[in-house]
Amino acid sequence: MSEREFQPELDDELLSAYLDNELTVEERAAVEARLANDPDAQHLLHQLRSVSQSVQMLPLEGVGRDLSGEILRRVEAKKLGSGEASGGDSSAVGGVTPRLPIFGSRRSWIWATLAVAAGLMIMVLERGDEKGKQLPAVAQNESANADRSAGANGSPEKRAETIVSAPSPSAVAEEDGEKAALRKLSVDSPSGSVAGSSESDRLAVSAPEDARKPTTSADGELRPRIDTSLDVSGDNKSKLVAGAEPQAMPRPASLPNEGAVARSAAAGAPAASTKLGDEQQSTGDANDLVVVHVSAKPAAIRGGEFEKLLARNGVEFDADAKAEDGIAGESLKKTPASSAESYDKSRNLNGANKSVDIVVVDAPRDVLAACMAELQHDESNFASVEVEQPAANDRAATAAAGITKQLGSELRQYNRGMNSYQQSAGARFYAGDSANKDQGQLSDESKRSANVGGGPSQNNQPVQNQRAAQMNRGRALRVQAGRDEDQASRAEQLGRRAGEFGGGGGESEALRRNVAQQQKPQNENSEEVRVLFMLSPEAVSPAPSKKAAN
Amino acid sequence: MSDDASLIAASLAGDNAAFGRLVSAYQDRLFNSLLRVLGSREDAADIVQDAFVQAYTKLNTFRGGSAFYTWLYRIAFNLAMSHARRGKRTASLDDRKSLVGDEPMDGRPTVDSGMMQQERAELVHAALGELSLEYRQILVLREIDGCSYDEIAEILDVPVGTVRSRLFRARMEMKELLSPRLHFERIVDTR
Repeated sequence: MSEREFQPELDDELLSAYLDNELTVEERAAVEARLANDPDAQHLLHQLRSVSQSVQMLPLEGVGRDLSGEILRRVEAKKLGSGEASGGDSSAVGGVTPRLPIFGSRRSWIWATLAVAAGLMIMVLERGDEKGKQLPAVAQNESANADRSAGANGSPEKRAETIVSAPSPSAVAEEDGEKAALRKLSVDSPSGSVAGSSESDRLAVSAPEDARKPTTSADGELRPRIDTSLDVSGDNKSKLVAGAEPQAMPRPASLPNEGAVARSAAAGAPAASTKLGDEQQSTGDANDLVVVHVSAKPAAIRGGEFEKLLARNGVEFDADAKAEDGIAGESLKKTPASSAESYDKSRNLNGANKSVDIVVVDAPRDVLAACMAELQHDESNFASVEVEQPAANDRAATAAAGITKQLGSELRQYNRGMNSYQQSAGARFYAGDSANKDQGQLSDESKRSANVGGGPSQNNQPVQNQRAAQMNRGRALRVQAGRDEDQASRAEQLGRRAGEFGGGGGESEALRRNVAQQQKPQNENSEEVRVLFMLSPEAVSPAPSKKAAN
Repeated sequence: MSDDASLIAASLAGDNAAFGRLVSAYQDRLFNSLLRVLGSREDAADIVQDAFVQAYTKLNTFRGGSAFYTWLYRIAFNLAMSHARRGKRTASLDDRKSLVGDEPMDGRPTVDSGMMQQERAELVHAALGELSLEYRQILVLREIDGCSYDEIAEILDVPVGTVRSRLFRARMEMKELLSPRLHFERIVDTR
């Protein structure tokens, strides 16, 4: 019987209230007057009283236990969960001894289960965060274009200080027996670098807070595999400390992702950070990125000598990335001859806003050594070659990057004719998770990334061995083409490109100058490593303009 | 300052033990009321805990304008209402029939017929389960907890006039449910 259906008279309602002594004096008087003359009212009053008494006669039931302990434990848990942790000691309440709040009821069991699940998740995330904190790196490149090489023109000084986050899952493609699979590069956390046109150009990009966070592309063109390999547009909160010259190193007003990679890329530095895979997180170390500064003569740049050099040593450029993405860096294979002039112009080789080409190279160690040796001896095309050194006061961080340090030392023997590049304090590249500290193999994440768009991922050594056996033993991706394009968009593109690189898809192409080496050397020279080459035109005149630090 | 007020103040100052004493003081009373509303001991215990936890977290919003238990009841009854509306298990009449027997007391058993107090309690409990949640709540608050109309109005967040009319209708419906089972006249007469 619903409340609507039942339409008691007001007087009857007063009888109920009369029973409860909830009437005013006037109402009570009126009810009593009615009761004195109305037997039905009397009968109803008796019935209502009976109902009331029947309910009141229900026995009192108790919980049967003291709930205070359980309740206070829940309160504590809730406070902890909401960050309001306090030092309450629930066990002291009522003498209740501590016990798991999982026995009281089904609800308690659910809470307990959720708490355990949440705890596990927090543990996993915390672990990831720690990794992420190690990954961010800042790199400061003081590039003074001192022409130490014979016949070299005075080279402009340039400084680029970049923080590069290199959470870097490398990607290795594995299509059994297929060259395409071998071409897939693992871009373990390619990091961004900065190229400045003037000596005071400085970029400082803070590391991403969460390098592992999947990124979303600003535009829909970003291919899935890129997403899987690079964290280009994640929520990384990098901070661009100083911007490069507006044209040469324009900084994006806003990036979809504040990641160091995207920022440094936007600032003219190549940046590519890969998402961290769980596997890598568990095995990777934060390593500094080996950065090699190469000063090339304009003719060499126009002629794609650097790319040719890489090719001669078995490093293959990814060929179609630009066509697909429209990213700044065009393939050098296509660039040289016919478009030499425009290329030269676009790069403004003689202008103040010269920019730096950044090429990430993934190759076995011996291949890289061969490349470096050739660079060292090819004075006709390359004015100088120098491996950036970590800052003296950044040793602690560098120390952890044993792989990078070792590789850097190895490659440093090929230095020639340049001012010392040293990473500034607090500015370093983190090769991070890209390096598989134990095996020197491509990381699982790298393999996974490489596999995107490719065949089934198989994180196994045979793939790497197979790659080493190929003619093209290394792969290169130009992540920045040193052109005066919309840097903001380029930032994403670079990241995208790098992601593509990392993804190792057959179509991805775009490799160029800087090589981020993150792959931890595994065994001998055959282990694959990653180096970031920063190729700058030697003839560039020093740009006096300075960038305002951001 | 009343005991409740001092315990509340101590709780707000971080003394969890003080809040523990509040729990100890009201848990059984609240549990009993919720048991009659929800019909399930398990659900009632859960809601009691939830209510105290919520009360703790909102304790700083308690202004002392009303009794603590009134404020606590309001939280608890809101939770109970939400719980019931989510379709969670509430005792149904069928559930309770297992306690009082499948058949109604067609013979109009009276106290004189030897009906045990426990049996009659089960019948009443079962009848409560047949009421709407609103009627159940108001009957419990009034008959079991002895709340005044003003307190009921505060707990249920309804006008006092609504309390009076709703309580009357709840009683009338309860009378209809119990009439076949209990001989009210006799009960009344015996008292």
